[in-house]
Amino acid sequence: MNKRNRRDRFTGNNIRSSQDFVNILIVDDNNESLRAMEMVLETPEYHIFKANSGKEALKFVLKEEFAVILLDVNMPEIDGFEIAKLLQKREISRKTPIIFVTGMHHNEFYEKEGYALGAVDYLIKPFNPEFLKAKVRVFVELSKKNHELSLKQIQLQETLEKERQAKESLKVIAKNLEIANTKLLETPQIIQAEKMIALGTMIAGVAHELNNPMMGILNFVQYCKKHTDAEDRRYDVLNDTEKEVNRCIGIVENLLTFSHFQQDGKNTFELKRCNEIIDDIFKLLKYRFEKEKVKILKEYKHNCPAIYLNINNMHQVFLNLFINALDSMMDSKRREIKVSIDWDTDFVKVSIKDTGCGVPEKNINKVFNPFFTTKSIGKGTGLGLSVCQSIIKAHRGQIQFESKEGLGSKFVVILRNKKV
Amino acid sequence: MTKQVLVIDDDEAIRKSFILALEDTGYSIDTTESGGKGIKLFERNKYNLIFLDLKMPGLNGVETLRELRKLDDNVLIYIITAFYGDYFPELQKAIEDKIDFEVLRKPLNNEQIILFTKSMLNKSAKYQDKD
Repeated sequence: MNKRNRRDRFTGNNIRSSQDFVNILIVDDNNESLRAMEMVLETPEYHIFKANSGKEALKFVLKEEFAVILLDVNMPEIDGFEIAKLLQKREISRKTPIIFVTGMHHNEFYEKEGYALGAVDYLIKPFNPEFLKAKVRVFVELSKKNHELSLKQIQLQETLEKERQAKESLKVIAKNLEIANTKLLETPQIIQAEKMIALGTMIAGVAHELNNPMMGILNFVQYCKKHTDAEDRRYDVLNDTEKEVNRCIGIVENLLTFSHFQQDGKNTFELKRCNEIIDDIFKLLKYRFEKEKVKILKEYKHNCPAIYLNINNMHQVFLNLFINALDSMMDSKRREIKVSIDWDTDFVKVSIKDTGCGVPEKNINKVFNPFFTTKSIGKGTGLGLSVCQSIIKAHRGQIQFESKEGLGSKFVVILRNKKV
Repeated sequence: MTKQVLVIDDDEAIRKSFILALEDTGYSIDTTESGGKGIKLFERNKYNLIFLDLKMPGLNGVETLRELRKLDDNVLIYIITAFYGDYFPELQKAIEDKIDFEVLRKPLNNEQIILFTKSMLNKSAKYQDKD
């Protein structure tokens, strides 16, 4: 089928009809009349069917759809009106326009009967060819428009159906998301993370509460010491007590310093040197380093450039990295953490290298995945490193990871040496 | 002339710490557990140095500070606290309202209490001698 752009004779618009041609049926028992009408109407667009009798006409109608039927009224066997009645009974042809062609005079009676049958026009023999063409043209255009309309209707139905299906799918997706979300909230890791947050707030409160009793104990002991002879055995004991209390005060102070940042909820970037952040973390973890006999090698000076950091978050990052290092060395004979800070005009690099158990090669790519953890529930959420990565990304920096199973791991945090 | 020290803190351990620390210094010291009682004491006696806690039931430290300043602009007032984050906005406002005070961080040991009290009271002594 070749599609051609045709112009509507009346409107001048392009018609892109879905049919290339239109079917027209001419019914007349007189072959000459048939031929005459065919010749007048002959156009590439019209596919003209000719029938000699009502019977033939019906055969065609059963097979094809016609834009218009030219029906001779005066025929043997069945006349035009009878045929029109039969056509009206068939679904396929009920709405097909009929032009009655009649030799009779324009008779009101026949007109009435004709219109009642669904006919829409009359043509009197002998006919004016231009009249014939014009009348046929009108119904052809009507038929085309009807056809376009039905197509559009089908399209609309299809679109509505698609929309309905899409809505159903969306409902299902939404439901599944809800289920997944609920399950997620119930995962041990999330519960653990929430516990940690609650614990953090509690620890800050407890640390704060400890300050007053600490001051009391310190002063009471110092008073006793002042009023005890140096030779008295009790003097040394009091001295030791004073030391221990000072140690407690130190621990509480570190805890408070840390939680102050959390409580202040500072989310702004401020100038800070990386070595100061790391020193803060060392204070906090000092007891673990001592208890677990971990050697710390510091390869950094104190004048590394101050860069813009979210201090609160960077504390979290380094705390996480050091705790990971410590935990990985629990079963190691050699326990060392080497910390070095290098910088140039563009970047500041902090690297933390441990002598722990390392990570097998197949897992190296997964370490930053949320919920990836090799620890049992209660020991780690698996969220730590993914949160660290997010924080570093927010600083427009990078975090790199190397590891050799059995030998140890190394994290390198790369930050920009300029305003973020 | 004996200088008077007033300690306003709801915690007995803190009040006792000051009493013990300043026992042999010759300074007379009064202690009380609330801002309300502290203000009443201040109305009756003369104090040159007041140590004031922030977190107390009833009137908190900042509120007490304001009331004390209404009575006297010159007395040295030191707020002793471990952490003043919670009260930061109120303290800022007090500074804006030109209310004078200083802050000392807890915990303070024996020596610090003595040293501090001496230097503050001697300063005010020098100040008074100039009159």
